[in-house]
Amino acid sequence: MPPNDHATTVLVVEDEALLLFSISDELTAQGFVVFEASNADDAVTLLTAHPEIEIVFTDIDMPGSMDGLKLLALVRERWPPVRVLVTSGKKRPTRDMLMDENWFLPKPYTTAGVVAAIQAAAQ
Amino acid sequence: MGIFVEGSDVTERILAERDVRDREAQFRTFAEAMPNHVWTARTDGQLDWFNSRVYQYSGAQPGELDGEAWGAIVHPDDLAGAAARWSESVYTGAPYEAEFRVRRFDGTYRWHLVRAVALADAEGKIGRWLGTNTDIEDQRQTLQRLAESERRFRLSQNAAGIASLELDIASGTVIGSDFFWQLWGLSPRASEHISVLEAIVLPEDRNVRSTEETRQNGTASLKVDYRIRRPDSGEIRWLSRNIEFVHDADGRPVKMFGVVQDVTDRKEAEARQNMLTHELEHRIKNILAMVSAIAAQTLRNADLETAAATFSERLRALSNAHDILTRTRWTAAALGDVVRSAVSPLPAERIAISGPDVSLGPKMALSLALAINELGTNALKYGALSTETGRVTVSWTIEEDATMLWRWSEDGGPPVVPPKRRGFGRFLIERVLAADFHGKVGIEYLPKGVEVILTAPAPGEPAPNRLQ
Repeated sequence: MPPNDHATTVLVVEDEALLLFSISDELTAQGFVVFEASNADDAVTLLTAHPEIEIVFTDIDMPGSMDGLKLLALVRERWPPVRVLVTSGKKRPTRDMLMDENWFLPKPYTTAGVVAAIQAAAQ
Repeated sequence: MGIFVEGSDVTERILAERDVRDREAQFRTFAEAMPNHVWTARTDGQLDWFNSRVYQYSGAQPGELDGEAWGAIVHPDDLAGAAARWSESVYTGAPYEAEFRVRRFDGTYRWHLVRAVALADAEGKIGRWLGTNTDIEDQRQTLQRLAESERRFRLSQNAAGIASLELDIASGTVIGSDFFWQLWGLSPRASEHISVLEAIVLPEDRNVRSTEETRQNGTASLKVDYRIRRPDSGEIRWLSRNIEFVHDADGRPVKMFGVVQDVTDRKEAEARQNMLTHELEHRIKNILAMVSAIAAQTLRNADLETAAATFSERLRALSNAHDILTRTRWTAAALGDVVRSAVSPLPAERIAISGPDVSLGPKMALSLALAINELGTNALKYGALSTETGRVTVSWTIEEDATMLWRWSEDGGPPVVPPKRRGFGRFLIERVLAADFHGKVGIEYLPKGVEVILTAPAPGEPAPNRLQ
């Protein structure tokens, strides 16, 4: 389904390219407009340039100046309406950090699981 | 008168002699009753009387030790010192004191404390020396055993890197072993006020130790680990301290006894272990997520049997790349090793590999291994390796502008037909491989065979930002 005017715009932040593109391709196939970033700094640049981004899906464990938790805190502060779904293989954010208890996806996840979670968040 | 006087003189002398005899008898009775060796000497230092204890002990006969003959029962190693000191006392009149070994009747020597004082008459003139020997063998052995035991204890403590401490709770005075001060980075000293040590502990760890209150009421934790900044080197070290309280008759804690150990090495090893465990956990979860993504892609457009075989090949390629990375502890992998490992299932005589030494990071190594697996599988099924004579060349070069050109080139295969759809192989090569190398990938379907060229900054060069 090609993106249309009503398509939800999602930013996927994942340093593992295979996972990043798998999720990104699947979301695109499901009709989402997708931006890709392999680290939090790139994600911030994209968020600044694209106010249409509504959902961020980010890994916590990433190299660079910020990990996913710092990115989550920054998005909460600078882009409050943006919903952030986080994933991690080891760290779990505290309940008060997440806007919704369901917005955490433990690794390893399936691409279908991620897409379903983002579709739910987009409702 | 004269007779009287004469008679009176005789009487006084007789009385005086009797008095001397009486006192002598009294002294001897007293001296015989004493458990010690008792002896007397003349003003010239010659010994002239011993109580019977001396004869019983030494086995000598009365008279045999008189004069200077007493030296016969003194240990040869001790005699010169004992005699010299005796001569000095005899000369100066100062009290004599010496420790030396005296031979018993059975030939064994036992240590004695020997003391003698000069007895002065009414006019202050030395008339005689009175001496005693006290057996201190048992005491000396006990002291020696104690010293040895203390030495062994100290040595074993030092060997184990343990220092001991004693704290007087009321005064706050800490007494420590030599090693104790060394652990705290302080010069050797007998004692120190506890506030001096508290100032060395890192502020954030001060509360885990004892406080004035927890010492006074005896509730301080018996075992704690805390960090100090050594005043001598500025180094931060971990100390582990175990204590016990000693209470007075009313049950109030009065002292703390304990041991302290530097456990920095153990703490650092634990931290490394934790870091590795977390890192491993992260990698495993990521690998499983990758396997899951590969499975989803593999199963998407294939029948189950084909998908199962393809999935196995992909997992094997992933596993081989992991083997290489495990050998280098996930720091780097040689590009040549990754290529050789990835082409190992292919006919080796038809594959030419060439290129300089290049070190790849873990992500590059994994995606290159997966990409080569896709290319190799495709070559075997449809490309150069599906014929008898086709060949594959894998080569890479580093250009002058620090660009790496990596090439997969097939020749001699059947005519190439570009695929109609983009499968997992192309996804992996065009997108994942390019992203992990921060470069770009071109796939050419040339008449002679497939050619893939990866153009990327030479690994090790700073990577450009990559945004979609």
